[in-house]
Amino acid sequence: MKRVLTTIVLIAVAIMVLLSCAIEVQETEYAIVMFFGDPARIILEPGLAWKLPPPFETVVRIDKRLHVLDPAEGEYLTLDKKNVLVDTFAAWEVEDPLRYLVTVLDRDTAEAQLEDIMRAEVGAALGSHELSVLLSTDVGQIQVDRIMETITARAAQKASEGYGIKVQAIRLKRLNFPEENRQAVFRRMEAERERIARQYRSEGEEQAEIVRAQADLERAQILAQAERRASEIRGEADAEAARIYAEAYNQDPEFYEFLKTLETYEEILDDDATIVLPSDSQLLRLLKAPR
Amino acid sequence: MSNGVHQTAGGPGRMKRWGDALAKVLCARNLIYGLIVLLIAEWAVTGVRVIHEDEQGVVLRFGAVSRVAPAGILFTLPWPVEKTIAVKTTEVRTMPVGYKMVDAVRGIAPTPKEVEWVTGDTNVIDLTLTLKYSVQNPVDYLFRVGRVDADFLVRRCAESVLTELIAQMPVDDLLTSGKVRIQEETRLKTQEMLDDLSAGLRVVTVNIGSVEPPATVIDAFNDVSTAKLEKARMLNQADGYRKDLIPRARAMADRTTQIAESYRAETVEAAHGDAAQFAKLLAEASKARSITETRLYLEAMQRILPDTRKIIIDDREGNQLRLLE
Repeated sequence: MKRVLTTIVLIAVAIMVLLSCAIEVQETEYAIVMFFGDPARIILEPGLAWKLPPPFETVVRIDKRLHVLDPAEGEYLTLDKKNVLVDTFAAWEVEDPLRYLVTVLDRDTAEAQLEDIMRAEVGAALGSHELSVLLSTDVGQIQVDRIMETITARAAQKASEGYGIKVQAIRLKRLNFPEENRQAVFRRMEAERERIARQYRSEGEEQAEIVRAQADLERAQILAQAERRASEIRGEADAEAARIYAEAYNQDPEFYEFLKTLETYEEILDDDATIVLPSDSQLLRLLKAPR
Repeated sequence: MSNGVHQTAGGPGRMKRWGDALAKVLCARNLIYGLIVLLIAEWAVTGVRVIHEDEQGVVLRFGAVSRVAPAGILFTLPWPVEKTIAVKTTEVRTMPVGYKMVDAVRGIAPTPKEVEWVTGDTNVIDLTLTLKYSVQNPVDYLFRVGRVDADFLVRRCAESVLTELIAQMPVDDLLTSGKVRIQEETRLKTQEMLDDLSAGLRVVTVNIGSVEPPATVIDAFNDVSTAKLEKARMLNQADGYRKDLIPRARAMADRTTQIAESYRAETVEAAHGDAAQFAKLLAEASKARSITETRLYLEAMQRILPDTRKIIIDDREGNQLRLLE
């Protein structure tokens, strides 16, 4: 019985020693094996690994996941002396676990360091560019990508050399204006809208006037054309009538003259006319000497 | 271990034998064995797992990914060798951009800081959108990003894409035709960014909630819309004026030519009439020219002379008036 107990105790101790020698390295981490507190080796691949039992060797685990650092926005001055509020964020991960461990040790410290680097680089980049490279309707002028790439590259170099951190990307998250400039922007927006509204209204008046004037012109043209056509018709009618008369009267011009003369007398001799008639005229001849 | 139980059955010693067998089974040794078997079975079962239809199972061997299993019953090596994490890959998560979900639920308006964006022509605009995403690669998602960080990351990527996109668009485009473009490009570029970071996430849709000018300037923007309408109305009115004027003018023109046409008809008819009358007279006159002429002359005098004052002169030889010339 005693022997059985001894065996059981021995096996238990063996299992415990074995367990303390095994390291399960997770997918989310790097493991650094420390020999009496000094880094001895780094395990980069996840899975099962072995070490000496404590106190000889211990393990420090370092998160290798992607981290997102989003520091508070900062006010920066561009090259053309414009104040902007710029909010950036960085995606980073541990690149060199050992350097990371030695220099910063934990995520908070690391992010504080990275934040300083970001501020410096963003400030430098904005200070050497005009606002129009960030904000413009002319796509050719926009250089946000290039600027952020430069910031990322420079920050990445510093973070890598200094802290074993790999900066994957630093991106512009938000852009706005400080409060006083923001109010100025609003006032300018209002003025701009007023101008546009005025423009619409006067354009409306102008174009409406053009349409009206054109309509008036068209009307005048239509009427004038009709008038011309009417004159033509009258002319044709008169010509036609003249032709008909000429044709008829040509049969005997003398008779026509006789008739027309009589007709003319009738018209021109009204009650105002005084006619002097000699008594021997053909008309009155019979008065004196009846046949 | 309990063979005796099955070998005998029936007979007078039956109960006794049953009792013996039971005692045999219940003896300490067998109990321990049974327990061990049970424990082993229990242990083995830790390697069996059901992966649901909306999940994928990521199998870890000593912490390292060994394989990704689809939905169904999954057999793995038991603990502590292998471990399975189920990830919901069909679940679509909603991420608000430009506002907070809690605020939206409570009906609180987003703060300017959240909702304001600066346009390419240096205007400020309020825009909110909702982004939906799901897990595309469960391994990257689990071990590179993590559930909490996924929301954090997606939101920031989307904000970054939007900021850059809006910074190159004029405010008028944004308020009118630009929405579709924003939705499409935000989706594509956010996806690109997430892929660059190997986040294992897929942007499913991007939907713009609202785009409008900030409250302080919205009146001015509305006035532009009003002015636009007014312009259209003015043009409409002018067009109405034209549509009224031209047909009237045509009618008037038509009338003018009609009058001329009727003058033509009258004049020509009159000429024909006069000509016919002349022809008739001529025909009559040619039979007895002198008599006809005299008759006509006298008839004319009858019509003329009654109304005129007449002076009759006598004895003026050699100065006779035959006819008034």
